[in-house]
Amino acid sequence: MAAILDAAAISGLIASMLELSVPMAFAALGEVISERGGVINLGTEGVMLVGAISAFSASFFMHSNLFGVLLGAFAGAMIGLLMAFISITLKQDQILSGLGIYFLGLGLSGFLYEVLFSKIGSTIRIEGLEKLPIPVLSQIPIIGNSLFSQDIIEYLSFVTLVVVIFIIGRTTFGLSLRAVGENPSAADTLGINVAKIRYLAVIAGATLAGIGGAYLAISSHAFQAENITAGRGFIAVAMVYFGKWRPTRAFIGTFLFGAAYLLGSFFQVIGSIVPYYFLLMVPYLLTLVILVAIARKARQPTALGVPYTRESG
Amino acid sequence: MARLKITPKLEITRRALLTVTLIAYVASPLVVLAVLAAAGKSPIIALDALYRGTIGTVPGFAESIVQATPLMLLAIGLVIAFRAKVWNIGAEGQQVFGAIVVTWFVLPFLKDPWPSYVMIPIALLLSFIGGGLFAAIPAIMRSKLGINEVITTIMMNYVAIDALNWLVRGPFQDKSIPGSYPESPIFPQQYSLPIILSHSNVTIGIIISVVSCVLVYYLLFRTPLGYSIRAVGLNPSAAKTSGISVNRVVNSAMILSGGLAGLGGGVYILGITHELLPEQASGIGYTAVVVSLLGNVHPLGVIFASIFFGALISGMSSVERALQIPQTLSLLSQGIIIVLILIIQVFARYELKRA
Amino acid sequence: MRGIVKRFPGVIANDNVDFELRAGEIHGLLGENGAGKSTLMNVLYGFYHADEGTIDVFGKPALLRSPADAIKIGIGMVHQHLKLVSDMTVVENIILGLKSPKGFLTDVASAEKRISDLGEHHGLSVDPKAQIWQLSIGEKQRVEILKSLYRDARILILDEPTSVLAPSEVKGFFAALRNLKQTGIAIVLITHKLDEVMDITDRVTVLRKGRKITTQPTSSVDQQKLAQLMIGEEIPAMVAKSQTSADEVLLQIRHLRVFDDRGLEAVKDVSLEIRRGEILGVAGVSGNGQRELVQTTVGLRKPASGSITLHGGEITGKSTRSIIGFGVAYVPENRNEDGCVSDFGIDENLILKDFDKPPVCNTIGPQIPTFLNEKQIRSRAKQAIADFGIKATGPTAKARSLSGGNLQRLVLARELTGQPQLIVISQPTRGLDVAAAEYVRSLIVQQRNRGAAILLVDEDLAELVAVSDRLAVMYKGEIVGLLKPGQFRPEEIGLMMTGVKKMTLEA
Repeated sequence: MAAILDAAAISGLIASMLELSVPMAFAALGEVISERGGVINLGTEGVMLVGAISAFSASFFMHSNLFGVLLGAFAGAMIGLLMAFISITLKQDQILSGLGIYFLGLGLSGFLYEVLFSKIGSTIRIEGLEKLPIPVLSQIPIIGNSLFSQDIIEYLSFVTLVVVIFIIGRTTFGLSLRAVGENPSAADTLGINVAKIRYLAVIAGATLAGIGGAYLAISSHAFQAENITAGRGFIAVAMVYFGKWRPTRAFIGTFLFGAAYLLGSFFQVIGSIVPYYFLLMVPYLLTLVILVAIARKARQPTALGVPYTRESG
Repeated sequence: MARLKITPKLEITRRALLTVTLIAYVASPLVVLAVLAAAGKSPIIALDALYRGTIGTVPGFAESIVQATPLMLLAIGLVIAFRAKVWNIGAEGQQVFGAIVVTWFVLPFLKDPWPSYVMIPIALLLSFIGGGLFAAIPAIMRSKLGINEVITTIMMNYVAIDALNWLVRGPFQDKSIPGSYPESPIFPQQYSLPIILSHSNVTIGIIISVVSCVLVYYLLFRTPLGYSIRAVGLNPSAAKTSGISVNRVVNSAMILSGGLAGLGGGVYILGITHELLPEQASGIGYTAVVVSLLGNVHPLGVIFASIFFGALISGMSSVERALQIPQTLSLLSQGIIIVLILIIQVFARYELKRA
Repeated sequence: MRGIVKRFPGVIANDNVDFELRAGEIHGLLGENGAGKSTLMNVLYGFYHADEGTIDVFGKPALLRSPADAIKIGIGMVHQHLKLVSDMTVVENIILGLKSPKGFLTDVASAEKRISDLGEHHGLSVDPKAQIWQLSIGEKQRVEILKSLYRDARILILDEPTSVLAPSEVKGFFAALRNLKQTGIAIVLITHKLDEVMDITDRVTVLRKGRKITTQPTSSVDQQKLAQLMIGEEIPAMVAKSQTSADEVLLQIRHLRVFDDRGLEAVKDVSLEIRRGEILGVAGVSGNGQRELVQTTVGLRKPASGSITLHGGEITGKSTRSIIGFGVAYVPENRNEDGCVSDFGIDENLILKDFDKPPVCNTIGPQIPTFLNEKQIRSRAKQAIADFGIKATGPTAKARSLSGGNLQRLVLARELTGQPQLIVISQPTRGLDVAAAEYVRSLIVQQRNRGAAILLVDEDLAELVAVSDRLAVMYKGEIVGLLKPGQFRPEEIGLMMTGVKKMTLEA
């Protein structure tokens, strides 16, 4: 007894998928920059949380979503600075630093929410962003209403993809970044400040993750500390591996993940009896399967995860 | 112009490690007090509550032990993995799966339970095996395909959490009560771990945890397997050149680590909750990573660090009650403390010199 | 450079060294491994900071805090381990770190042109668009030099540049250097090879154990004099070898074919045999398949085809562990990376191969290991320290704290105890001082006298000639020469090493 699968429902699903994936897409693009420079940031989840609470607060109190996004980006940059300090300057193990940032972000965001909002009565909601339909294209049935009628941040994610590709491939910074991630010693001997490049990479990555978190809060309209990201920061890091450290592939990966994630909703819409939470496992399992499939060809930046020290003696 | 330069030490002395760890222990409660003072709360009351919640009173002390128990099991399992440089971030999923396996075993025997000295050991053994099997998947993905275990174990965490959520609302759900609650039926008394401290929740779980730490000590430092684990972690190339099978070691380390995490989940469910709940996924697997670091990835250190963290969690609850502050404050303190530990630990490995 | 002092934990690398370089000269910096040559030049390049001393460049005091400063005043350095990013192109590697004429955008097109021009002008042509991993070592080196020329270097430091070149390539390389000299560039050539110094340098500075010994015009010295200055003591005599009837063939390698990590054929069709009580030396420029040959023999690499038999039994493709079990010892060339675990103590390092077997491990029955036997482990360590003269604070001293020579003693103690029947050794005396090298050589010969078969791969041709019973020469994965005693002539060997000459061998 399948329910009717009408155009509006499909359209709605696509729109949801986009909304769901965009935060991860930003975080993944940021993580690509960071990892190409040789630093893995497991704290992306925490960064997104901080970005989310910052944006949510700014949006609620200042009634400006734009300001919310900016504050989210700034907050992300600050957390990124801390991560950079611990893992680059102090040369603490990157995995551990990342997890530390995760805990910090978790605690900070929950705490700030409590402090700022607990006294304000019941429903705390913010307005989302309005959709900006692209003329002509948005008239196309089904996808016109979703793919081509997104809000500004969603469009921005695509723009960011192009910008990131451009930066990595065509700028002097991108060249230095790649060198630092592959052979930091080579960069060092040419006078490149390895630490500085890595700092910039980590901060840039965290800024994008902050924007992702900001969008998450804005599009969710409400805020629950631990549930709002639901591991999306970690997923973003996984997508970088999935995309073999190429921006486009990581980007597409996050959307595929989002689509798989909505499989649950999809099946609910068509009235299938497969349980909802069971289907939620699908994207994670799918990621694992695909990682196995591409395993042989993936090659990570050679210096990824290793703090750099100039050899002495 | 004096500039500080950070240079790696030639040899990390035990004294340096201990000093640094001690500083971390002392600094942590200070952080809590500082945060509270900043929030305008009285540090005196806080300090008193902290004291009473950790070692000052029997209930406080008991709660510290209760919190420490599953943490210790997870953390000691992580010690095995980390010594092999296998980054098992999946302790969370492994402990959840351990609890799931226990539930699966217990449910058919709700009506006619066998005596506890039969059920409990079997249940705990199954939780160990379950955790180990759950960890075997990322283990094989790393050893056969070279896929980074950080990502795979994190993915498995979410698989476990989703499985948990599905099971407590589906096949494992308690259908005997009206309404639809995401929880399993409550386990009969036979399946609870015996309590060793009257009027508290302190069970033999803590004994199991400490014994596990001792066993892991012997494993790592007195057996060939432990030797090979340490060798592979310190220099996989030299280990391979000498004929050690790095894959076998990685698999063993990962599976043992998962098994102990699963056991931790089993101890948690049989000792504290007595039913399967969504709260089983409490994030303890991630905290265990930090505990293992604070314990310098050494069994003895882990015993102390787990108790310290257990006390911290218990103490923070006590502070929350005393000062009427929300739970998020302890989450914040925990986050700050963790970052602080990471920063302080660095100084054991490096020394500051004037350049 | 005046009064340069550079200390590292535990050692004084440069002890009050003066160094002077003139425009348009090729200045050789000569010394043994560890004499402080690279360190001194790294100080000049700003990579290291001197603890004491001053540096003046082009008449002005120079503050060299980092390579960026050195590059700015016109100093370029080509390191011994090439600093190139494999996945990037030649152009990208060269323009790395430079300000682009197009602001923050990279200007690849104009750079390509300039690189081509520079390359042609100096006889160092390379395809700018090629990716580094595609290039030969000689070409990679050209890229390194072009890096400095692109930055208008007036001083060029070359650290052991010929260590990766075949003798014929060296000719072309030196011609290019002479060209550069003509343009007024000053070149520092760090080397430990006496013939090179005589060939191309105008002046030579000799360093020994961190101190400067002397600076002389090359015309006023000869190889013998330089050797004396370099080593400071008599070159020790060769170790006496006893007569052995090397009859029984122990190791037989037949038509071995092995691929390297990049999927290229490293060992093409190698057949060798080694008898008991015989040392078979393998000569060749590094990178011609010796490493893959050695790895395959001890089971660290699987061959594509061919067979290896030990005492008649097939060991082709078997695991390292089982091959070790047949009595095979392996002394790897990177003793720090592959030969020992730095953070383990001497005692723990000694049991690396048999930690799960008696006597160091207790067992149930013959096979099932239980616990490590601490007493046995400790006594083994004490014995090894005594027998092999390892200088350390005790049996639990960490391997990290041992000097190069003592570390090699540790590795040898582990590998040679237990009467191995086959010993595979690679670069046994690399980085060791004269006394330590002498000791190692004597140990090797001792084992040979005892009846072990020894496969010795060595870059040090003199050592190889002194110690080997027979000598094989490897070039591009093939054995191009198999010499018996009395046939060891360095010129001939050199020609074989570069593929010019090839012996016809019995099948």
